[in-house]
Amino acid sequence: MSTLVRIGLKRIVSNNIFQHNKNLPFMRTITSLRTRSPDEDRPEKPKPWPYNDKPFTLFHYLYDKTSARLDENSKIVVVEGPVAAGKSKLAKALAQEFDMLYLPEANLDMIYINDYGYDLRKLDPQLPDSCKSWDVMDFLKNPRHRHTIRFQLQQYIIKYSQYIDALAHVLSTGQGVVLDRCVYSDFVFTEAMYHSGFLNKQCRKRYYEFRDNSISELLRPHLIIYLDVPVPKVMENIQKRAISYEKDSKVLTPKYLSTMEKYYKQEYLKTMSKHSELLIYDWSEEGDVEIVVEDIERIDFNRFDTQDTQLKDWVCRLEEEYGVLRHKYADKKHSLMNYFNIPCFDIPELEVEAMEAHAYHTLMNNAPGNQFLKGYNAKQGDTGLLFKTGGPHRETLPLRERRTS
Amino acid sequence: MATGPKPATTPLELLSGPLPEQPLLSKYYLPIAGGLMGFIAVVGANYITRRPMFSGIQRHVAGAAAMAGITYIVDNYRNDYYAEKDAVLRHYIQLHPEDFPPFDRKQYKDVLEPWTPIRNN
Repeated sequence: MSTLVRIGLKRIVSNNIFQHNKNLPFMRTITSLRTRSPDEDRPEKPKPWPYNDKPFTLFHYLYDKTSARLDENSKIVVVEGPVAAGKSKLAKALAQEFDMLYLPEANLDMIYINDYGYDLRKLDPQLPDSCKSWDVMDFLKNPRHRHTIRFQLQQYIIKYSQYIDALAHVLSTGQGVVLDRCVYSDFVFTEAMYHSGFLNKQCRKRYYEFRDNSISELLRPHLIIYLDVPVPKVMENIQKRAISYEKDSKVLTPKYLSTMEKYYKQEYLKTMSKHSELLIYDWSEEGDVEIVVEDIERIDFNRFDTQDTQLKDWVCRLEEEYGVLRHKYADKKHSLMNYFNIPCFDIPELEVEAMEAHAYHTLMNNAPGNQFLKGYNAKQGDTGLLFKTGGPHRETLPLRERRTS
Repeated sequence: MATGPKPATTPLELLSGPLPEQPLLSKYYLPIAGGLMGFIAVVGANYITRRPMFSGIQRHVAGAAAMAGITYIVDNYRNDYYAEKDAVLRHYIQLHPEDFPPFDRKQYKDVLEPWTPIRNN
């Protein structure tokens, strides 16, 4: 009976004379700065939440609504593609066009250089071999090393960490994010390494265990842009770009690159297309950003039903669900990162002897800027320590580009 | 020569009578120990959260004061509790004097059996 009343009431209300425009198609799509209406005409948005300094708790939930900040541009866009395809250039351009935040490709410089700008790799000569730093430069020079698996796991972890930051940014500020490669595509490198013989079966299995345990905590991106470049052209691009450690690398062979391409296209894009929007461009001759922008503006992100697999991760029926997600990514990053706090005793490459680990920790804890929490290092020029109590609320990765020499 | 308070001769005397004057340190022993504990706890918390030992000195003061206050209250509560317990026992003894005769003081010579050394060989 109550249903009848409700339906009847709805009909009367929806046939109301005030609803002139009910037959207009409602389309919400990403809009660039040039095409969107000026800010004065848009509904007023609360200020971006300072998620780096301020927690978002149950108390804040009472007066701060997450969905109030979300608009058509609050999206995660990922630019994918092979090496030297021009991803970061496109990603930067898109970020500028759409007024989004550009996150540079996650790299180990983000953790090897500490908060005070001290490069922890400088300590390598004093460290035992098992604890020395190992970043992409070392990998490309010497791929058949025991640290390759550690490097690849660290790459995954840092991409995971960056993706959490991206989600926290979108949900806390409402500003979209453009990523240059993301955590979902990282397995492509593992496969390429495995097929080139740089990783053994056990390591690959362990990598996937970490991945499968952790990846379902995240929300998949809205849009993936894949820049397709054939392998010979990639080789040419690498030579043209002439980054010292990439140019003469034993790693970036046609075999390695074609495995990457295969897994990109046959695994990554195939699985992700079930959820995310996909744009694929032939980028062998660098394309026009304008066209990409237009294509993105044409995508209607609202054309799916809530039951569809498309964009399912982002379906929130209640304000509370938004709040919970935002709290998870903005405040609970450390708990999410605990997925990687698992010792791997079955993999000899990842084992470090106790005495060597002790030497490593002693040295790291006494490195300049590492002695105390950020903001408490008197030697690095922090002041007012006697009465200081606060600390960093979450560990957000710096927006640091990979060094190119 | 025996020093100190005279031994009680009746059960009632055991539970009453003027207490000897307490030394100053034992009067405030618990609050002082509590305050120190609060201070050390904040230093420990600073160490664990990777802060310099004495940064945020206001927290040290607050921690010490809070712990001293709590231990002072606990100490008073404990004293009151035992005072009340003694009073109840005293009252009971006063109501039933026949059950509590004065102590029958014995000497060790009455308690110990005579020592008879037995020596073989």
